[in-house]
Amino acid sequence: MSDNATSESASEKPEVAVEPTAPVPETVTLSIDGIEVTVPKGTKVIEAAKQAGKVIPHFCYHPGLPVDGNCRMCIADVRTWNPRAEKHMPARRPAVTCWVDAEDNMQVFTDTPEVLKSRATVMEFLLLNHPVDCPICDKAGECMLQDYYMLHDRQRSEVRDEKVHKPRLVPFGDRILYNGERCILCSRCTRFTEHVTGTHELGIVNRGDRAIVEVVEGGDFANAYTDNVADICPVGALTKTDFRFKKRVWFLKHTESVCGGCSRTCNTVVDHDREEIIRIMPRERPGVNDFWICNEGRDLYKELAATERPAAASLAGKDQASAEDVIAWIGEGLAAHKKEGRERLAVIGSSWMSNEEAWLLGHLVGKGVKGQHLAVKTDRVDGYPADDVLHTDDHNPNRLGASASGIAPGKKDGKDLAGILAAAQAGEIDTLIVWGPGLAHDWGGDDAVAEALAKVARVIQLTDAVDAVTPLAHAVIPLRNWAERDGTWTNVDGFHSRFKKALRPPKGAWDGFELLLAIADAGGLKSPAKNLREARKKLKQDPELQAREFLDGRFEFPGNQTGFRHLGGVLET
Amino acid sequence: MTYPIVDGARVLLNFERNTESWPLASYESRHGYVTAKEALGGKYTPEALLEEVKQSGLRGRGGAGFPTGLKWSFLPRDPEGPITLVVNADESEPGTFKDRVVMEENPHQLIEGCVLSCYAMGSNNCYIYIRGEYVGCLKRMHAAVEEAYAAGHLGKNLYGSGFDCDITVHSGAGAYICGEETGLIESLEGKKGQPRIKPPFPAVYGVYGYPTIVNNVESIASVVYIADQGAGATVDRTGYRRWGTEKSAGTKLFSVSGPVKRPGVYEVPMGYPFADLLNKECGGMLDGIALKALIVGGSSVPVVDADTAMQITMDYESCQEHGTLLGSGGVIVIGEGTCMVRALWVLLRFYHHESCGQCTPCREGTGWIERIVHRIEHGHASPNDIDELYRIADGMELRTICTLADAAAWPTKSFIDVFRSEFEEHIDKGCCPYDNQFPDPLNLRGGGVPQRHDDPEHVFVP
Ligand SMILES: Cc1cc2nc3c(=O)[nH]c(=O)nc-3n(C[C@H](O)[C@H](O)[C@H](O)COP(=O)(O)O)c2cc1C
Ligand code: SF4
Ligand code: SF4
Ligand code: SF4
Ligand code: FES
Repeated sequence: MSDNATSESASEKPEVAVEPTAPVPETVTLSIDGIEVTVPKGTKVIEAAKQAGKVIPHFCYHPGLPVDGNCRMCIADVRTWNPRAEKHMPARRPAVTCWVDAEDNMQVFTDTPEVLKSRATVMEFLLLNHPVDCPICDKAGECMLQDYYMLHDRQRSEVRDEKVHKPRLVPFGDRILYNGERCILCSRCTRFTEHVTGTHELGIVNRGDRAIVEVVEGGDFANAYTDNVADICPVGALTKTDFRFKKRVWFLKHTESVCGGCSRTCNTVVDHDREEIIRIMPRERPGVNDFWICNEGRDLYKELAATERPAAASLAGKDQASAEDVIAWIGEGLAAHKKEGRERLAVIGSSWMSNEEAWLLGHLVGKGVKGQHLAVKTDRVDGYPADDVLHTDDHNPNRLGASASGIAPGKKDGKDLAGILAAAQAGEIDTLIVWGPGLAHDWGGDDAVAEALAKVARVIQLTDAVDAVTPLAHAVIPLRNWAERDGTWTNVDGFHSRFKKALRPPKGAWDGFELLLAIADAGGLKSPAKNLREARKKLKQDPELQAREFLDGRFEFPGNQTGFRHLGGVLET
Repeated sequence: MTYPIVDGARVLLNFERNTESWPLASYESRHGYVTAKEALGGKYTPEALLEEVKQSGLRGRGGAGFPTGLKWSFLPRDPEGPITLVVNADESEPGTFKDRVVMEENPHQLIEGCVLSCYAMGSNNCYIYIRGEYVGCLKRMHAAVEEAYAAGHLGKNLYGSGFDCDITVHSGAGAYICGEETGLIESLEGKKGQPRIKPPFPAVYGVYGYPTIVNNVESIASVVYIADQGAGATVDRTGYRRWGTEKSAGTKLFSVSGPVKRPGVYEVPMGYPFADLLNKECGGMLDGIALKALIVGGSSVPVVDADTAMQITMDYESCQEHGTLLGSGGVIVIGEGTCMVRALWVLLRFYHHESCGQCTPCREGTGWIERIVHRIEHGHASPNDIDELYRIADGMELRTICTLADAAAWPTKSFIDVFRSEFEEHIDKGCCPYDNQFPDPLNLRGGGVPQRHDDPEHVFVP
C-alpha cells in the first residue's frame, strides 16, 4: 500500500516539474518585401509571405499536400545572411519559396524585376503547349493559368511550331475526365491519391513533354474522394462529369455551407444559380476537413432535390388550416403541459437540427427538467462507409450538437429514444413532437411507428421531408432544409460549423428557429432569445456548455472566418 | 595491341589493357587489393583516410567536379541509419564512355575503391548503379564482384579487421536522368527516376532516406591510388598530386570521339594540353579534315572553336577560362564539314528525349528549342528565331530542380555565340548549306579508324 503511494507520487513529480516549461514553439523572423513577419520554425517562405499579405503565385504548391516544387512559378528573390560576406546573399539557383524554409534574418523580395521576369518565363513555358481552349473549358473563370496569365504574363504567343498533342477525354473512373493537353503536370492530383487517400491510383507516366497522368495499370479511380482532384487541379485538365458543361462558373453564387452527409460536417461552399444548387465544393477548415470533401457530400444536393416535402401546414380535423392555426394549436398544447405535467410530453429531435434550434426547443419544453423526455433520432441511415480520411459512421451531422444544446433526457426520469417508444406504446405520452423525418429507423419500422403513434393524442411533426410519421401526425409544419436556412452544427470532434442560407425556401416552409419563436409566442411561453443572433450568443455563454467547453471543441461559431477558398488553389482572400 | 600510355600517368589504366586485364588474378598481380588490406590493417583510421582523400584534391569525375573528400565530410557524424555509398556508373552523357573502360578492363580497382571509400565514410554497403545499355559492364561487374567475394575482398570481417563491406550491382533501364544523383537514388529505390528537390542533399537524405554518398566510377577508383601513394603535394610532385595542377589534381580519363585517327579513352594528367591529346594520343585529325570545334567535357558543356580548343589545357581552371567546362571528360572533336546547326539539333534531340519532365522550363523548353533548331536546320526559320532560341535557352537556365535544363541551354547558347553565322546562313539560304558528309554529325561512334574494333583480340566479349 505504502509502496504504491510512493511510487505514484514519484511518477507524478516529473509531470509537475515539466509544467512550467511547456514547449514554446520556436519561431523565426524574416522580412517579406520589407514587412517583418514571425512564423513558426519550419514554415515555408510561401506561407510566411501570406502572413505579410503577399500571395506568391504558385501552381504545384498546395497547403494540404506535401511540397513537390516542380512548377517553378513561386521563385522569388530569397536572400540569407552570409556571415562571412557580412551581407545578405541570394541563392545561386533561385529559390522556390514553396520548398525553402523561412529562416531568421532572411530577406525575401517577391516583386523585383527579375522575379517578375522569372514568373513570366515560367508562364510562357506552361502555355507553350497548352491548347488555350478556355472558351470550352469548364475551369475557365477559376483557372490559375488564366488568372496568372493576366497577372504575370500578358505576352504575345511566339510559337509557330505545332503544339505537342496528348490524349484528351480520358476517363479517370466515372466521375473525372482527364485532358492531357491542358495538364501542366503539377502532380497535385497524384500527390492527393498518394498522401491524402493513400490509394495511389494516379501517377505520371512517360518523360519530358510526353508525360501524362494515368490511372495505374489495371486499377480504377474510384475512391470516395476522387472529385477533390478536379478542385485542386490548377487548370481544366481534370473535370467532373457531374459539372461538365453545366454552368459557366462566373454565373455561380457562392454560399458558405456545411455538409450534413456525416458527422464530420465538412465545411463547404454551395454554388448555386437561379435557386438551384449546381455543385458543392470544399471550404478550408483546419481540424475539420482541411481542404477536402467526399463525393457523397458533393452529391448531397441531389438527395435534397429528390426529397418529398410536406406541401403545407396541416392540422387534423381542420381543412385548409393555416400555419398560424397549427402554431396556435401547438403553442396551446405546450402551455397546457407546462401546467399539467411534463411527463406526458416527449420531444424527438433531429440529428440535422441546428444547435440554435435544439437549444431553443430544449428551453421551451423544459430542458434538463425532471421527467422531461428529449431524445435525438437518426434521420438518415444510408451513406458511404466510415474511413480514415474524413467519413464517419454517423450519416447525420449534428447528433452531438443537438443533444448537447438541449435535446437530451431530463436529469431525472427523463426517457431516451427507446424509453419514449415504450412510453408511447403504453399510452403514457399525450404529446409527441417529432423534428424531421426518419423516426422509423430507430423505432423498428413503419408499422411499429404507426402502432405507437396511435396511442398518442397529439403527434406534431415539424419537418422538411415526408416520412411514415407525416400522414399520421395531427399537426405538420413544413421546415426549411439546410440549404435554405442559417444555423450551426457541431461535429464528432466538437468543432462547430456554420451553414448559411443559399436557396430561397419553398412557400410555406418555416425556418425552424422562427417557428419555435412563433410557437412560444402562441403558447405564451417565455423565449430565452429574441432572434438567432441572441440565441447564438446565449448558447455560447450557457454555463453548462461553457463548463464542458462545448464538447471540448472550439468554443466559437466560425462564420465567414477562414475566408480562403482553395479552388484551383488561388486564394480568394 | 596496347594503348599508348602517357608517361607515368597511371592511376586507373596502369597496365597493358587487353581482354585478360580484368580478372582478379591479373589485378592482384599488379598490386591489387594490397592497398585495401593495408588500409584496413591499420595504415589508416577511417578519419585519416578521409583526410587523405580531402588533401589529395580529388574532384568528382562525374561532371560537376565537386571535391570528393569535402562531399564525404558532409555526412552526419552520428547517423541514425546506415550510410550508403552509391557508385554512379550511369554514364549516359553523349560523348562520355570512360567509366565503361574502367568497369570492363579494371573492375577490381573500382571494387577496391568501393571498399576503401566505404571504410573512410563509415559505410558497409555499396551499390554500383550501371547504365541499362551497358550490358557488358554489368556482366563484368557481376563477375568481378563474385570473384572478390570468393577471395574475401568483399563480405564480412575483411582481412580480419572487423570491417564489413557489401556491394550490390544494379542495372538501370537506360535513362540519362538516372545519372543525376538524386534521380539515381529514386531509381535505385524502385521509383520513377526523377531528381529530388534539394536540399536536403543525399549526404543527409539519400537512399531510403538515409545518408548516402554518390560518386562517379572514376572518382571512386582513384581512391585506391590515393590510399596507396598518399595525397602528396603538387609542389614536390609526390603522391596523387604527382600529377595535375594545384586545383585540378591527379589524372583524368578522357574519352575522345570524332574524326581523329585513334579515338578512345586516354588517361592523362590534369593540365595536359588538348593539342597534345589530339595530336599525340589520338594521332591527330583524320587526313583532310581540319578541326572545327571542340566540346571538351561531354555534350552538356559549351562548345569552343578550333583556335580556343588548341589553347585549352585539360583541367578545370583552363576550361573555365576558355568559356567551357571540363565536365565528365567526354571530348567530342568536331571536324570541318560538320554542320553545327545539325550538330546542335542532334544534341537537343537527346535532351528533349531525356528530360524527366518534372519542372516546367525543362519539360517544355527542351522540346521547344529542339523544334526551333530543327526548323533552322531544315530551312523553315525566320531571322528572329536565333534570338528567340537564345532567349528561351536563357529562360531555362537556373530555374529547375536539376541541371539537365542548364545542360541543354549552355550548348545552345554557346553554339549560337560561336557559330552564329552558320545559323544565319541556314536561314538566309532556306536550307542546310552542308552536304552532310557525316550522317551522324557528332560521330559519337568514332569517326576515325576505331582502334579497338579492328583488333580481333581486343573486341570485347562480355
Ligand atoms: C542530368 C545529369 C546527368 C548526370 N549523369 C551522370 C552520369 O551519368 N554519371 C555520373 O557519374 N554523374 C552524372 N551526373 C552527376 C551526378 O549528379 C553527380 O554529380 C555525380 O555522380 C557525383 O559524383 P562525383 O562527385 O564523383 O562526380 C549527372 C548529372 C546530371 C544533372
Ligand atoms: S491533371 Fe491537373 S492536378 Fe493533375 S498533374 Fe495535371 S494539372 Fe496537375
Ligand atoms: S466526409 Fe461526411 S461531412 Fe464530409 S463531405 Fe463526406 S459526407 Fe459530408
Ligand atoms: S531539370 Fe529537367 S530533368 Fe531535371 S528535374 Fe527538372 S525536368 Fe527533370
Ligand atoms: S515550385 Fe513552388 S509552387 Fe510550384
